[in-house]
Amino acid sequence: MSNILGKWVEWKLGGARIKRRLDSIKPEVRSRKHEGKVIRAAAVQRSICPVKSVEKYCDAMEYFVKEAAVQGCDIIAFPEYNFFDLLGVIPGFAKLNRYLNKKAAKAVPGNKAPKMDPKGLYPLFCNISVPIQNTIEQLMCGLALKYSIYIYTGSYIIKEKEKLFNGGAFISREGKILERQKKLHLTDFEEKLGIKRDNEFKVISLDIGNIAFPVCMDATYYETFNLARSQGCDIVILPIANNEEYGFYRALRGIWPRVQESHVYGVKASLNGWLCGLHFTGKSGIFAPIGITSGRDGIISISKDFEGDSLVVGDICLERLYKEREEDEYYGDSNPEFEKDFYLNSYMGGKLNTPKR
Amino acid sequence: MKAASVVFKRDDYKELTSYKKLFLKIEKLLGLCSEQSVEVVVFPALLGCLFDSGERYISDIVELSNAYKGMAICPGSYYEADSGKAYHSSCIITNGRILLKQRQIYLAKWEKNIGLSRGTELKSILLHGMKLGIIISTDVFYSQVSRAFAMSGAELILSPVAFIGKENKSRQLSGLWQNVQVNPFFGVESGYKGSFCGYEFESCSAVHAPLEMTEKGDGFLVVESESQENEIILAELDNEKRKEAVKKFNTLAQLNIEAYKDMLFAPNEGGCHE
Repeated sequence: MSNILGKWVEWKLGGARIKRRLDSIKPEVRSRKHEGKVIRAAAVQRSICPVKSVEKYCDAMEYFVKEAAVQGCDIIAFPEYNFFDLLGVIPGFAKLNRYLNKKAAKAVPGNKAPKMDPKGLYPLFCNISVPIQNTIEQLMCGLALKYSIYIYTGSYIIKEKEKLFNGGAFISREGKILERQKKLHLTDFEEKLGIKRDNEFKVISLDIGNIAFPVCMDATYYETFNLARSQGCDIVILPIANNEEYGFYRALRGIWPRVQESHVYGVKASLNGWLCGLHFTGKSGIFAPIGITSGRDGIISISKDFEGDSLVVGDICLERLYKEREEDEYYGDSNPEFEKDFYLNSYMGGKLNTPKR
Repeated sequence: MKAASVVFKRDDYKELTSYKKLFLKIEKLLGLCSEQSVEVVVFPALLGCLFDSGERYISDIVELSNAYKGMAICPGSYYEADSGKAYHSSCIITNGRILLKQRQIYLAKWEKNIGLSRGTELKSILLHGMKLGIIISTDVFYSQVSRAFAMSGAELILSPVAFIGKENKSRQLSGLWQNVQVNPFFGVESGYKGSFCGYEFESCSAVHAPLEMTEKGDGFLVVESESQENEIILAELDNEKRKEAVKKFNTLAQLNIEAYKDMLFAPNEGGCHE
């Protein structure tokens, strides 16, 4: 049965169908060339919209890439779990999704709505992850080439050696996958589902800067951004799909404070809407250290709403960032004596000095 | 545990023109805390640097603390001289004794300019069954300090702060507030407003908690407001409630220590922060 489902999804998401769709796009000659000073970035915010055909998904992705290209963007980032729409090709999924979403929407606050058993998703993802990964990567590589733009694919399930990871790929303007990054810190839901975390953090060096692309919860951890800085990163792309009701302060726990403490630019792409009774919310945005934002608030641009589709565009200037790193009162100090045993003391069971009373 | 944070206003700076006036103000504030049965109170950073030596300031507060039995006093910060070096320090005083001394670990650029040195270790104590430490001003912007405290099991952080520049809510949020949200301890922050060493400072006072346990879901148990008339703000630190909140968003449970080996100050890196 499981093999049949995998084959079905593979057939529905056929590579030939994506190629035909990509071939129908007229190559776009871009008027704006990157001149080494200001980089224009786009962060996609989009609602989950299950599709019956892969062509519909191609159109949805192309819409954002084309819009980013029209606005002169050098780079576009898609959100976490950017594959949810493709679950719509599974027979019976649409009906189940509608039923669970209705149930959840009607649930009285305080009463628990029916929720998916995360463990039940594991065999499903095992079977469909490979065709879905192939689909997204083929499509995004094609779009990057057509529009001559860097694309971060958003995240999807990556299956390696029978293990499932949550990660995404970074694609060059020539349509080649430069690197993949898997999530380092999981949510409880993902852990219960059986997704594994990775331990390897990567930064890629491009003509537009050094870029890292961790995933969602990774931005809750200052360690992720410390790793990014240790490899010379200037721009961090973060796909998110927050399964919670929106709150300004709740949303502030992620990339924004990390950008402030590590002095990098942050590009956050958010997935929102309903899937199988789960509600996702979040604003896409582009962030920078407080000192180089006009409102002195650390925000270059941000979506107006935490639901719906939008493309958030903002300019990134690395020269300003480097100057700010030198000038900011509260950035860039070091304390070798404190730091030399930090790893052992903090993570490997070392103790703080507790004076006797 | 009932906690208080002193709200220091611009007018306070203008009115406190001598050490004597400052000390009378401190006495008055401790009296207010005592009336409210406060168990721990935090004063703003730099109070002990404004007039006399840090040594005198601390010794006077130690003596004064005898009149407020059982109250833990974090008297703000002061400059501590030791072996020809000067440190930005703070402490916790109870019943005529200094229970804990803490030096600031990282320096702001203006602090480097005036020749301060860095502390090298973090200390904590148990007070009324809660493990607490002090994070001084600049250190709230270096997240490794908060993380180290969290990993040692700290449940309450006292934080005298003085941030250079104009009032900026975003700057303040990027300090202790965000550290409390990802290292779920309580944070009692007391901010200085005024001049010092030719620099202007503007910082607010607040008591922070994991946002899952705060009424408005904003991570503040109480925060200084513009119309603030009270000289102290008060909050009850319910540690059981905090532990319940941590269960809902337990960041420390998902640390990926294996991945951190390449951090800036991981083994063999020797503190090569830029």
